[in-house]
Amino acid sequence: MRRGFARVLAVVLVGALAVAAGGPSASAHTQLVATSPSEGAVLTTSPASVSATFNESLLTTGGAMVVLDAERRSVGTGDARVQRATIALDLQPSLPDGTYRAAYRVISADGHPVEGSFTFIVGSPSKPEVQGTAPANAAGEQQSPAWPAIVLLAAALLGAVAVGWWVVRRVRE
Amino acid sequence: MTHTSQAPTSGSPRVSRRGLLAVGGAGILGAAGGFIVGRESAPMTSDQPATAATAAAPQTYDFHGAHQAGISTPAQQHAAYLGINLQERSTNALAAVLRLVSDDAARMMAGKPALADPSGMLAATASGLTITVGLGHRAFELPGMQASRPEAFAALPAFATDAFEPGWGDTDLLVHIGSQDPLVLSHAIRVITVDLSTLARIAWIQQGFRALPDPSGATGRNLMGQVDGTVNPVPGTAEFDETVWMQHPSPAINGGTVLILRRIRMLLDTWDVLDTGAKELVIGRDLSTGAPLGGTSERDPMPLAATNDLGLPVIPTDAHARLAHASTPRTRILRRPYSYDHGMHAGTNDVGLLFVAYTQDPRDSFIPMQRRLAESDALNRWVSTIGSASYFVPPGVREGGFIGEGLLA
Ligand code: HEM
Ligand SMILES: [Cu+2]
Repeated sequence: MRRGFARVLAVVLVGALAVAAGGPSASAHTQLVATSPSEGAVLTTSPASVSATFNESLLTTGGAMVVLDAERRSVGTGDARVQRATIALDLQPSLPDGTYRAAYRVISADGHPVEGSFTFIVGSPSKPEVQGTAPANAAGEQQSPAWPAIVLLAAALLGAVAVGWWVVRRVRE
Repeated sequence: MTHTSQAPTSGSPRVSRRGLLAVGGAGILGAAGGFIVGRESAPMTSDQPATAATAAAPQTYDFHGAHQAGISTPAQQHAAYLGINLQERSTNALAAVLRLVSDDAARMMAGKPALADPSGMLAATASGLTITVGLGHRAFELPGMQASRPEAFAALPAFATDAFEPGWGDTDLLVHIGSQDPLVLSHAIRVITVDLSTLARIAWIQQGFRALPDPSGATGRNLMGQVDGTVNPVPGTAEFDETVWMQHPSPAINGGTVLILRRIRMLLDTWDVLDTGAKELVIGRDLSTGAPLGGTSERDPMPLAATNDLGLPVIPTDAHARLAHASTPRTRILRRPYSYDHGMHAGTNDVGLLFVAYTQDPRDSFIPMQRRLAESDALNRWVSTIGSASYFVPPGVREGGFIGEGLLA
């Protein structure tokens, strides 16, 4: 019966890994490591700028960043700046309360285009809410921060262990 | 051999061979019937299917006409650009060179050997040979030439991305030779360099090639793999004429053009590692079809104002095609580039583009365009402009005349 348990555990583990691999960022070399403001942040004051930072440096060419309010009006000023692993954009001063979405497109130093977005709220959210983060788009690789994938993977592993433990208990009884 | 009648020393630019040419010129000519209108002879092979590629490639082009050949005529597979400097800097020497090259060109383009050609059999098949002559800034600095300089033949300013290496700069003259057959091309280079040997020195020769025409008529690719040549004025249209040919009261200038030759090295080692998606963002076009990003086929207009659902521009603001785009005929250029492969340089392949552009006035077109590119073109990271020269290409001549004759008043 030990064999049966091992097989069940293996199947569950493979399934969990497959779920994790299908996650938003597991296929990319270039990972978003942080944004400012952070995803979903609720700010009491209007930020002067937004930025996205990656795990490897970026090309200074091909970079773009835009911040839209709930009515899709652009609230950035000037051009996006790329420095090492960060792309940043200055914002108009004193943004009114509401939900904003910052989108970026960068090319990593090793030649991958990466595109994605994050939202933040100044004061209180807009009504109706802006669409969820990072809608699918064909132009580049879509990315949310890496942590949801990690959480997903951890949850799947925990689940697998729990199921395995339950199977073992059943077999022993 | 008649070659012995050529000036024996380099001291005198008045070549005795002129006598021969004068006889030849007078002899050929009874037809003072004006300019030949249709300049392309019919294709010699009649059994070929009339695809765009074969119909557009006759065996011979007429040297004589309102404009010089080699500009509005279809670009051949092979080309060479010869930068030429006079030994004696005088208008006499300039005239001698212009006469000689014109005579050689008229004969060889017709599939006949130049005078005193020891290997005349190599000239029997012109294979679409064209020979085009331009005068450089240095030629207009010769005593007596300053007043003849077309105002539109403006010197190019320095650009931020210039990375010139010695040896590819401005010269007194340019001879551009094109042919479908590299053997014919090489022979024509040989004839001209030998004929000019007592009068001039060849400063550089830049040779290039093009991909064989696609049977479907698709635009060819350059050595970066991009479809190159999509947006370009089409010969025979009013737009082309307005983009390329100068309009001027002086017949020595009217129907001429400015040729700009930039030698641009491609930095393929770093280009090759880019993802396809990154390469497409750099140009603003799809790599496999050549369609603009946001479009579906090669000829679609660029959706310059379009943004995707995240609000990002579909064609990046620093994309090459966006920045190079010009919206009126006089601000556009005709691009007629060739790829080059010059062996190795600094441990890697020395390859790139002989970027050849034609414009009625570079101050309207090339200069502002190159400024925009130098300032922010995403492509700059993967190319390096290592040479630059520009020339006034005079209008064509009637039989018996020589290129640039009217400038030497
Ligand atoms: C090695 C250097 C270069 C490469 C590889 C290159 C490549 C390309 C490619 C792939 C396109 C898009 C397809 C097409 O319309 O042909 C293009 C368009 C164009 N390029 Fe370049 N190019 C180079 C240099 C230049 C330079 C130096 C200029 C002018 C200063 C220039 C002017 C243009 C123009 C006018 C267009 C058409 C833009 C439009 O859509 O209206 N290019 N080039
Ligand atoms: Cu990578």
